[in-house]
Amino acid sequence: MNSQQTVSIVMIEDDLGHARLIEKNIRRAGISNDINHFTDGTTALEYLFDDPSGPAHGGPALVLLDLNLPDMSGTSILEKIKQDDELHRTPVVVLTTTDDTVEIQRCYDLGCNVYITKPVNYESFADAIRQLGLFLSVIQVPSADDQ
Amino acid sequence: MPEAVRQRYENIGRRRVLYLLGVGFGLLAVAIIAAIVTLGSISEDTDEVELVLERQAAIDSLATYSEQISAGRRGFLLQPDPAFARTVREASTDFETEQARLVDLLVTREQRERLDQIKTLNAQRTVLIDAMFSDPDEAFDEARDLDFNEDTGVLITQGIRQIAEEMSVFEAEELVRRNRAQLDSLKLFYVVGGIALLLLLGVLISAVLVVLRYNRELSAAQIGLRDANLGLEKAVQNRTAELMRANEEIQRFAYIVSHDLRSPLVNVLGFTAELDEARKIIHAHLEDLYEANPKLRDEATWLAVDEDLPEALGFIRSSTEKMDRLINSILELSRQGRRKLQPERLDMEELAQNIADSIHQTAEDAGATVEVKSIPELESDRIAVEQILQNLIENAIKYSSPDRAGEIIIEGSQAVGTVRIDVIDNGRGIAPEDQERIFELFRRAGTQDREGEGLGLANVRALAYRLGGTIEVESELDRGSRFRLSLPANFVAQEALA
Repeated sequence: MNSQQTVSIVMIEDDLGHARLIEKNIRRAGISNDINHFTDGTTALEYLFDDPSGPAHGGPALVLLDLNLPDMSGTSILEKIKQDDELHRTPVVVLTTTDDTVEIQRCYDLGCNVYITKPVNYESFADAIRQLGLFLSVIQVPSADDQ
Repeated sequence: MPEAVRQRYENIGRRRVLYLLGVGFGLLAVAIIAAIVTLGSISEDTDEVELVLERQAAIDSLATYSEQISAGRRGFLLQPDPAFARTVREASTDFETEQARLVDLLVTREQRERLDQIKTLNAQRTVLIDAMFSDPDEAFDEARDLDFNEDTGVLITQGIRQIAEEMSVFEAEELVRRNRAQLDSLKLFYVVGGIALLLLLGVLISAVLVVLRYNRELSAAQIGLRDANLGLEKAVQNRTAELMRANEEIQRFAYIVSHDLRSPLVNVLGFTAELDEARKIIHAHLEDLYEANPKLRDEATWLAVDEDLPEALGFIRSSTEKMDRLINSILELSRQGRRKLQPERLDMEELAQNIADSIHQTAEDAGATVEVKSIPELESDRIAVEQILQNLIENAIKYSSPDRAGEIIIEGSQAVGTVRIDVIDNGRGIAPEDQERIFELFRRAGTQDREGEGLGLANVRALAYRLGGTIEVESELDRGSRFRLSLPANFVAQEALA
C-alpha cells in the first residue's frame, strides 16, 4: 500500500486530552495511518474542502468528529460533508459524550457512518477505539480499490 | 373582596327598595282610608239631603192637605154638598197621615215645635169642622154673618200655612247646608286622593330609579368582577408560563452541566488508566531490575510503585467513577423531566402486580413478600407511575429489617379527585430527622450498607410533583414505613394546557 492510497484520519476534537487518548488507543490497536488533528470546526472545514492534499482533492480519508466544538456544532460539519459531491462518500465516525437518542438519530439521518459514545469508563473507551481500528482496517481495502 | 362588594350593593339596593315600598304601601293605605272616610261622609250627606227632600215633600203635602181641608170647609159652608164633606174628611185623614209621618221625619227641635203648633191649630180646626158637620144650619148662620177675614177656620188655616212655609224655608236652608257639606266632602276627597296619588307616583318613580341605579351598580360591579377574574387568570397563566420556563431552564442547565462535566471526566479516567499502564511498566521493570541486581533495591521506590501509586490511582478512579454515576443520575433526572407525559387510564392493581412480578426474584432472595390489595383506577402517565412504584417497592425490599421477613403491602384509597397509593413495609424504618432528607438528591438515611446513589426517592418526588401529586412518608425506626403517593385521579399535562 503506497502513501497515496493510505487513508488519512481527520480528527476534529477540541479536547486535547480526548484527542491524545483517541490517538494512543488507535496506535495501540495497530493503526498507523496519519492523523490530522483539528481543535475547531473552521480550520477542519478549510482542510477538508480547500487543502490541496485534503480529502476534497482525492486523498482518501476518514473523519473522526466530536459534536461539541467551540465554534460550531459537529452536526453542521457532518451535514456539510455529507452534502458535498466530493466528500459525501468519506466515512464519518461521530465520537462524542452525548448519548441522547435524539442526537444519535439526527447524526444517522445526516449520514454519519458510525456513532460512538465516549464512555467514561476507560476500558470501554479503549475497546470502542480498538473497534474503530478494526473498522478502519476494513474500510481501507475498498478505499484503496476505488483509487 | 368582590363577593363582599356585591353583597354590599345588594344590601343597599334591597334596603332602599324595601324602604320605598314601605312608604308606598303606607301612602296607599292613607289614600284608601281617606277615600273611605270621605266617601262615607259623602253618602251620609247624600242620605241627609234625601231626608231633607222627603221632609220638604211631606211639609208641602201637609200644607196642601190643610188648604184642601180649608177649601172643602168653605165650600161646604157655601153649599152643603156631601162632596165637600167627603173632600174635607179625606183631606183630614191624609193630613193626619202626613202629620204622623212628619213626626218620624223631623229631627230638629224647632221643626217639631212648629209641627206641634200645626197639630194644635189643626185640632182646633177639627173641632170647628166637627161642629159644622153636626149642626150644619147653625154653622151656615154663623158663617153668613162672619167676616171672612175673621173666620176662625180661615185664621187657623192661615196659621198652618205660615208655619208650614216657615218649616219649608227651614228645610230649604238645611238642604243648601247639606249640599254644601256634600260638595266640601267631595272636594276633600279629590284633594286627599290627588295628594296620595301624587305621592304614590313619586314613590313609584323613585323606586324605579333606585332599582335602575342598583342594577347599573350591580352590572358595573359584575364587569369589575369579570375584569378582576380575567386579570387573575392572566396572572396565573403568566406565572405558570414563568414557572415552566424556569423549569425548562433548570432542565436544560442540568443537561448541559452533566454533559460538559463528563468531558473532563473522560480525561481524568483515561489518563489515570494511562498512568496505571505506565506504572505497570515501571513496576515490571523494577521487578526485573531488582531480581537481577538485589543490591540496587530501594525500598522507598518499590513501595511508591508497588503500593502508593496503585492506591492513589485507585482512589482517583473510584472517586471519578462515583462522580460519573452522580452526573449520570442528574442526566437521567433531567432526561425524565424532559419526557412528555401522556395521561392514560391505568388499571393500578394490574400495574402494581406487574411490578411485583417483575421483582419477584429479588423479593424472594431477600425473603420478602409483596402483596397488592385493591387500588382505584386513575388517569396518569404510565411510565412515570411505574417508575415511582418500582422505586418504592424496591426500596421496601432493599431496606427490610434483618430481624424479620419483609412484608410489603401495596394498597390504594380514594379521596376527592385524588387517588392515594400506599406502599407499606415492616422494614428498618427511617428516623424522624431523616424523613425529609431522603427525598433530596444524593441523600440517604440509616446505615450505609446498601448500594445506591441516593437517587431513587429524589426521582420519585420529582415524578410525583410532575404528575401533580405528592409523596409523603410516615415511619418509625425499626418498625416500618408507609410511603403515600397521592395523585390526581385525572391528570392533565400542564404542557398540553400551556
